[in-house]
Amino acid sequence: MAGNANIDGHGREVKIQVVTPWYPDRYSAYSGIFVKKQVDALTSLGHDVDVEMPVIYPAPLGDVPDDVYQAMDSLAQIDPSAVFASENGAVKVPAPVPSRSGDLGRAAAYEKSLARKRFWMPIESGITHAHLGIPTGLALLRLGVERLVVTEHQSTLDRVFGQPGATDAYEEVVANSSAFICVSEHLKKQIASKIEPTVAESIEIVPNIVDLADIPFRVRKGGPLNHWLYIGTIASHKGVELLLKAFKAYRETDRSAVLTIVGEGPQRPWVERFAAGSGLSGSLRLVGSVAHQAVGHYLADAGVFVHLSPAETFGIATIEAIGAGLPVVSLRNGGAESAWGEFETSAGRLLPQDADADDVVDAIRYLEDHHSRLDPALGRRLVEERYSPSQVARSLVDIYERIG
Amino acid sequence: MSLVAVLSQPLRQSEAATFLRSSEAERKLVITRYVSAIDVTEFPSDTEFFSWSPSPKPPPSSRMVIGLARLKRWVRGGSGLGVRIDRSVRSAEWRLRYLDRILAVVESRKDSHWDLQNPALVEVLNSEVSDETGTEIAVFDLFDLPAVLSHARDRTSRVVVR
Repeated sequence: MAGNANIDGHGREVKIQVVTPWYPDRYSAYSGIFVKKQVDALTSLGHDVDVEMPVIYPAPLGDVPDDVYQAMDSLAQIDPSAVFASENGAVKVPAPVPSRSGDLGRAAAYEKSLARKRFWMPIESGITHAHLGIPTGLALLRLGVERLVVTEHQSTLDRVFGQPGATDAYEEVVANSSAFICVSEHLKKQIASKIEPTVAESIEIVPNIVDLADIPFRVRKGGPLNHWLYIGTIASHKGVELLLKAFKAYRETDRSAVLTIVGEGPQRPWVERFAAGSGLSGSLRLVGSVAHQAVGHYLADAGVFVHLSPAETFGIATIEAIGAGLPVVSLRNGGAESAWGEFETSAGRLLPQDADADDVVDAIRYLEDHHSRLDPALGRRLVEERYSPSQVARSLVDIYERIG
Repeated sequence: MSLVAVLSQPLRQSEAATFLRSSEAERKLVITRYVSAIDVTEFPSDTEFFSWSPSPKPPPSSRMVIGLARLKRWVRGGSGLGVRIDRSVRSAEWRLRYLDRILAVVESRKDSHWDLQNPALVEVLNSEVSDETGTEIAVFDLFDLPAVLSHARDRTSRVVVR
């Protein structure tokens, strides 16, 4: 394949097989964008990357009958692409998962389906990079894959660890993979609290990519921060209820205030009715989902980014806002304090988990009154240094080279 | 050219709807167990729907899910209480979906409709899907694949899993 194959520092191309249950496709344009960005960054460095994407096909309780697998085989024998479709650079691997299987059941289903896919569509040997410890990492480990790198991103690890047998299986993945990566220190601590500490010591941190290519930096003058922006899923677990209540409280003292929400989600009808019932409709702009390239426009237009999600593994949206030079108000949600690091005070305000609407308004007022304490240029520089596609890709290649 | 989406269980209906929306096929068909368990508004307006089950009624739990969806829309009125009720309703919906699955398994042991060779589904495919070049049958529920392949044997239709 073409490309600059010397950037890994050893003058050779690395063959990487990415296996991820999350990847953007026609059914979900935003799912796994961070995985796609890693793939693009590795490809741009001259490495050869293929992607397999296990897809869950819900099945009834009980074992999946052999007839189903035999039908998949008989179709794949004639036309492998009829079963394993390619889309957006990824080969989809249908995995029938019986109801109530849990994550270990998903891992077993992934294992069976990936084995079947690789029989009909073999892969070249190289590094295998799995996204998610369970189910993906476990499935590949049980398949006997060597030189296995696993990255953990999921924000629902507590649910995974709550399932019978999951903690032991997770420890097996961390102990036996060639490298195990978390996207934040917060996530590493979460895993370390569940498994044998000596096993957890080997976990490495490689952050998510924050790509500022389409996000311009804008210097802002002091003054009222009355144009709020939130980018993300409109869902209760993202703190959208607190966001609306805080905005309502702020608007009582500044009638010109505007809240722009970019994204979609199940709580949108609630947001619309809350706004209508609180007289906020004229101040609320629900933009819906936009292409990532359009996000920079909204960041450039806003005065402050408000992100009140109580739990994040990394929090890409707030890091993009910092990169745009926007002051940010966020809860200490785990991911935020890990990713912001020492530029916490120069980028905005981090609030305690139990912050209420008045605390959020107070934080905005503080930023209005102490504008000179912010250093947005430093924020941009640090985001570029730490989270750029090339930087993250180089960190990954260092790991691939080490185990290669 | 025809594009046929087969999904006995409606769990992947959004994927089927997206797949049909992105197609320029002259004729779009959906074949499912109960049309009434499908949200037809998700699909392109020119989609034709066919049911392979002799009973047009969805299982009782599906009817309850539809009722709960109406309640959910009503409670999303902007209050904190509404959000809490909403969460309870969603939890109830998930339990009902599990109930659906259990009912389906129970039914499969006494009901030939859940035979993987599914003669009722094959009959609908034989009668509604024309055997012409370019016809594609997309399977969205893997449990339908054995029956669809048995229909497509000796025909020109292309079968795909999507």
